[in-house]
Amino acid sequence: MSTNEANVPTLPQPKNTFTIKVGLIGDAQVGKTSLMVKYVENVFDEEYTQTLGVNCLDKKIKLGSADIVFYIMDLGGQREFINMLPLASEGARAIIFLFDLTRPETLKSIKEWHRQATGFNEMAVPLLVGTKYDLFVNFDPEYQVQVSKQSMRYAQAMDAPLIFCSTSHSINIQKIFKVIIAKLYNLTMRASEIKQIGDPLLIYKHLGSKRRFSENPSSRNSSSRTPSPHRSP
Amino acid sequence: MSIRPSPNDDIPETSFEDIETTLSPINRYKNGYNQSSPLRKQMPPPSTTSSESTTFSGNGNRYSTHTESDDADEEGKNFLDEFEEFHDKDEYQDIIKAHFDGRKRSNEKKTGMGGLNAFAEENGDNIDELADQFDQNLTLRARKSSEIPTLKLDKNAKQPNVSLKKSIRMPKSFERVSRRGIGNSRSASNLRVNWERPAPTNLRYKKSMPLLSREGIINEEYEDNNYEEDFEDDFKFEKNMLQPQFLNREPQLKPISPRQYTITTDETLLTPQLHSRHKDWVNPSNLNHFKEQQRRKARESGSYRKNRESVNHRLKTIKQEIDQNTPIKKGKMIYNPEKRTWEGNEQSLLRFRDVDTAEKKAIVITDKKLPYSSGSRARISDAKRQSNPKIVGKMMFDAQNLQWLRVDGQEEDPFADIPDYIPVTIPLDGGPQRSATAMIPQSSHRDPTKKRFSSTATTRFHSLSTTPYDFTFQIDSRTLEKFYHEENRWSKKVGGWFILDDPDVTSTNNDQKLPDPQSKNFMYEIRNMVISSARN
Repeated sequence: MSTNEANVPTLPQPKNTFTIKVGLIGDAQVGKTSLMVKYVENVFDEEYTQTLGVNCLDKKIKLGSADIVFYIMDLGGQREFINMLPLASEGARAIIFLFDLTRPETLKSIKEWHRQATGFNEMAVPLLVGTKYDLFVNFDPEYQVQVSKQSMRYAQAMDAPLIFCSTSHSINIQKIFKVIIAKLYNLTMRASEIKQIGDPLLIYKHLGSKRRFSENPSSRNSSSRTPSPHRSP
Repeated sequence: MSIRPSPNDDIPETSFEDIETTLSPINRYKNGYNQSSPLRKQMPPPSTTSSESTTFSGNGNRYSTHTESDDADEEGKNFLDEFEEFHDKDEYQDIIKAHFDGRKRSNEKKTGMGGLNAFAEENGDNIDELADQFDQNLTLRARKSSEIPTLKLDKNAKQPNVSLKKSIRMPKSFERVSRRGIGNSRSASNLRVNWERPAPTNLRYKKSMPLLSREGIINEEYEDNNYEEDFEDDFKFEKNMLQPQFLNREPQLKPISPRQYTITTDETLLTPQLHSRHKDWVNPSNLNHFKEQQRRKARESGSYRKNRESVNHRLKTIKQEIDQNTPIKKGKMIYNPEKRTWEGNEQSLLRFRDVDTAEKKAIVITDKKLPYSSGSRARISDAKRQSNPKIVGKMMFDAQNLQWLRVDGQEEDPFADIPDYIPVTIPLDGGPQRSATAMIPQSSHRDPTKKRFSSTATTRFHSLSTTPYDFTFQIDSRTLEKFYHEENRWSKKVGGWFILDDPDVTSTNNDQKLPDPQSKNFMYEIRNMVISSARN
């Protein structure tokens, strides 16, 4: 009996894959592609490369018997690509609205981005992310106060978690995607919020918790018979 | 496929190409591996477009899900450790299964997609089940539609022509909300559509049984559906009375006197989650304090270049070759090529209405401690003898009793002539021992000491004629005669239900009084009796 059992190869446990499509939206040169590449490949390049359409990258995180695949779509910020907005926003479970902390006009245009993106997808969890925090700290304290308050008001209006990040200095990059998971699956993040003006803000607990995903069946799972991770070529 | 705008809203306009879904490298060298590119199975096509108009750029390699096993495992642990639900748990498996799967199933239940996803998990073994699920969903959806053929409603009509009882009729704006309300109506039942109707119970009504539960049944008493006219008819007022001079004027807000209050602008009220800075501002030199830990091991030299190449290798760019001047309609959004913007969803801008307006400032109004200046006012009362009274207009605040008093002391009490309380009970011609009478059924135990018994139901007519306090109604003899006959008929029918040998009852005979009007207990007693007799 026991020998027979020993000879039987153990069956691999079924794996569930949860795909989370994330759209990155915002004005040109706010750092959407940099954020995406930094998160996926931990690479930051100072050189600016214009996105000519929609960039796509995916990132798999193995969580025991489950895999979470972030499928990130980054829409070029130039107006000429805005007719591709449905590509980045439709079916997304989270939409990250990015603005440049050193350019307040990029925050102001979040209103329009939000209007248009939610026109295609009202169920996605929105996040408001201010980029280039490493440059932001060089600015006048009064400027920092005003931008922080205004972005907080925008976050409240959007019911979106507010995160200041720096791609070049690896500040709050991982947190963005952890907040997405926390909001989508109603998990409690251990990371404490950063609320003090001047710090890289991380305010998420009471924002973005509306059950937007209740009618969004875009998260589908598929069972896999292979337990071993696979490598991309 | 044309990208031209289509007038038909039901057919989604496609503007982008479906991302190719057969590119998974796993399928190339792993037979039987069902996990394909997430683009195909795990999400709907990100968008739609004409196949001639969008291309993938970059390399010719096929798309794959990027995973580096070590990094992914390590990052997965770190990732889970970030959440309270998984912190310091060695075995993630069960928790993950319980949490994610449980949530997923609950979501599926809510979305009605449970059957579909269950089907997906079984790799398509049970097509019949899926068909049933689909059929069920379709039926459910159809039942909620107002355009199902069995309803035989006019498709062009905005509201179904369902007649409701006049008493429950409501403004048109509420009719849509109140769809469930017609579930009990005969009109609804005639439509043969079971709109979330409760299942019929097995209780059958006898003729002699009071139809208490039928109160909710709506009869087709009125066919007209003109709410507004009925509304006006109920009031019987003349329309010419509605002149502007009869309308109350809007009270004008008086400016707050800065002499009495300190008014400061406090924007922190609008952003309560932000804390003001109480330590040194962050310098570029101490940015590392916020730096996230590197999740990956230190790479060997030249890895950056490899990484960069890997990024360029894997990064897909979806380009469009359609003319960006082409108008597109997608759902409720319409692309305006001239403005290069999507139009629609304007109501979402209302959220930001107050954000950008500089006029919207949160202000804090605090009490200003005024120096005591008017010695003449101190003579009015004890409250006014306080050292620093606050006076607004004619009123002075009595801080001791927390009330406002007139400065001149000419308090007028418009309620002076009204007594503080109203006598609770006015006894009829009987004594107090008769005021709290109630009936008990024949089968019930009767306590003679408390004298709660009175069979007043059979003698209402007589009590009416002897009530001396009823000045409200003038009842003519003809009506009284009618009452008399009706009462006799009623007494004949239900007279045997009650014990009439009570000394009080028999002695007073026809001079019995009404039961306590506040007590409706005898009604329940009657009901219970009828139900019990119906069962027997």
